[in-house]
Amino acid sequence: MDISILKNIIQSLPMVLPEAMVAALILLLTIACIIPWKKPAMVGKSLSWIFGIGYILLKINQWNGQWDNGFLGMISLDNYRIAGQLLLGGLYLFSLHLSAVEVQLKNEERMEYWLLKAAILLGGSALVMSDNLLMIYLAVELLSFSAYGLTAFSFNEKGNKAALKYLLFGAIASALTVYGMSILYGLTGTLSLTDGSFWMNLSTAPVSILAFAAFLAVIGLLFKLTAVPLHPWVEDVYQNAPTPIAALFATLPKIAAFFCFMGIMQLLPPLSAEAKQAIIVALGFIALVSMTAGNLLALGQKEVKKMLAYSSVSHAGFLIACIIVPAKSAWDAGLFYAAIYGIMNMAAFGLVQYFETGKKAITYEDFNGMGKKHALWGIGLVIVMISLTGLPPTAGFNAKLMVFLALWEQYETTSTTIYLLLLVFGVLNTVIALFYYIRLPYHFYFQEEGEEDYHFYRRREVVIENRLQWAYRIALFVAILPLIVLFFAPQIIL
Amino acid sequence: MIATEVSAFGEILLYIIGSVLFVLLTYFGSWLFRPHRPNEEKNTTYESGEDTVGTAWGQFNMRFYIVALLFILFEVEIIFLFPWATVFGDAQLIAETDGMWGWFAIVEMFLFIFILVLGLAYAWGKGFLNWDKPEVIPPKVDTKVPDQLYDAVNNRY
Amino acid sequence: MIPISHILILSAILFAIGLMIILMKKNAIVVLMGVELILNAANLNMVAFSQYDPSLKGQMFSMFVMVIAVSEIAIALAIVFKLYHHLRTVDIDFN
Repeated sequence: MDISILKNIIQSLPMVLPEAMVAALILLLTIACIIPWKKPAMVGKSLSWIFGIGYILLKINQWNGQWDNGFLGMISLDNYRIAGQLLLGGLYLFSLHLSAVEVQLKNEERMEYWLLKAAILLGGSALVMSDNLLMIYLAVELLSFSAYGLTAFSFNEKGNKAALKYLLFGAIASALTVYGMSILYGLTGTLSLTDGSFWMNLSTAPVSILAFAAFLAVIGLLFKLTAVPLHPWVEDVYQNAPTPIAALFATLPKIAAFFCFMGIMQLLPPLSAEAKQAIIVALGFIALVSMTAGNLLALGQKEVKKMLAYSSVSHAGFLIACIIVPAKSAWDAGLFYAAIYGIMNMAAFGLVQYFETGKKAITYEDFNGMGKKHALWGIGLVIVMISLTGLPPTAGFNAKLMVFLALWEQYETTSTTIYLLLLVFGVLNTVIALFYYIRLPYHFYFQEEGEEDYHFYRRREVVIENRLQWAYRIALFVAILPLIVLFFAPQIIL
Repeated sequence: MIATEVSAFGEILLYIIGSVLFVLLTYFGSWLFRPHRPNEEKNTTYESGEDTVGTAWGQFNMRFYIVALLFILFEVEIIFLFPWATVFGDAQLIAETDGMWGWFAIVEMFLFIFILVLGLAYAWGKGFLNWDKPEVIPPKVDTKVPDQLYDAVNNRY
Repeated sequence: MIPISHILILSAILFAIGLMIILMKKNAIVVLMGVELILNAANLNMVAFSQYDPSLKGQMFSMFVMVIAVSEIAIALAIVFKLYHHLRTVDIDFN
């Protein structure tokens, strides 16, 4: 038996080759921190890009490979998860680009900034693969720790406050998670989710204890997904963290947690029918509350980044709705939704960052009357906002449609009320979302700029270099193109 | 069934009871014998007469925190060496795997220690370990009396 | 041999105390102490349960929890210290 352990470990090493690459990047950046470079920004940026692309190439290389459980059931890999990790890699590269064009905080010259970003990618990638309570815990913590540090990178009082708030929420969530996991371990005697005895023992466990432990144990993942009981940090963190970082927070950890959740739900079948039903109803309720509360909170915001923060809570609700549908169609819908969500949020934050840097536009009113001078940017803005709402002709529409279809099919086959409720509330929420998303283009084009405001802006305006202008344009193009293309040809992803 | 012998946990319990009793008895004794005459000066926090000012926060040099944190981080991470040490030298495992096990384990541990050392090097390179001492300014007294006279006096007495 | 229920009750008490501290205290550092209590309760559970598990996974988990708790505190203290520079207080009012 012992010799088989060693064999298993050595055989599973190729599974984590891309992650080893990111780890190597982190170590290299640690060394690079100590060396006094002439151009630290160049070093950090190019190292991150090289290894980030390397990560994606190695991941593509793993596609369709015969992967099984690795490291004695710690991780497992299949095409679905690899797709998720590729998505994470892409988002990481996009956020690298946004960081490089962010000129005000000069964070690109701090090597630690690049290091922590790489750590987020590593944590996310590990979370997608993990199949073991310990692994999930470690990956969530890696994601969180680097995120706490990055939140404070705006180096002002508000950024620090947001970081502390984030940290306290995260610490409490992770402590509760560990407590729940410890009880699950006691009930089952194993930490591995792929172990058959885990689910077997769970189905014979006393229901009250099981419900308590399971609820505590998923808190960590719900925290990363920013589902509703664990959302209040989101506003401050997204508003006060540097914008490229906020873009990263809004996408990468959420999508990683989503894929991890998907992986867990695929293992559910050995559970008894009632237990499964209870899990689905509980998660469905969380999804329902998340999408509604997130939308209503977003409706009341005056600042664009806060609106995006709460809208991401609402999107988390939709993601959870995909998680609880145990059908192939829902997995596809989930993958598509996650991909589109990541792309359009990156684009939205990129736009916000552009106007924030150049025009100091932070609230809706700051965008008044910009349509005359920045018509091209406005088109991008309209497309992204329509896609976030979920209307044609953008891929956001397909994503929402696929989720709704999956929910409807599941309702028809099982006639469980929660699916119908989710469907109804999802449609209603799409209507609500229209109000706050379209408000931004409305201010952009149809609101007149106030006279005194006008001079105010002229004074504050920062001229963005031509080179950076182009960098922003390319980034926006790269992000918006898939939103249109995927509307007409969604089969590219599936 | 009544155990006639005290178990190992029982000994610990006796020890705890004994130590609590010891402290309580000592306090009781001193309370019995000491005179009790409080006044305003005696009731201050520091009987020597220093008044307390401000909160207890932020009175330490920040360097203490950094060094303490670094120490604790490295100290705790060493914990992973213990489970490793129990399986590393396992002769049976090494024999079964034809020596592979030993090599594998030692490479893994060197990687781990390398990463830890890298962390230490980072802290060192960034100067978190430098303890910049406050400059001691020797007191200068402006006086007409030459230094030798002081020395002479010091030497004599 | 101490029966496992004793340990579980102790850990449940620790968990409850920690949760109460988190909910009731204002000082950020005291809240983190509450978090530590919960983590230790979980550790206690893990170690207690691992006596039924020949592979001692629970003990391994508790080791990881310890290390991560320390790292968490290190980051937390750094952020609290920075915040203290700005605000001269570490009380949280979440505004």
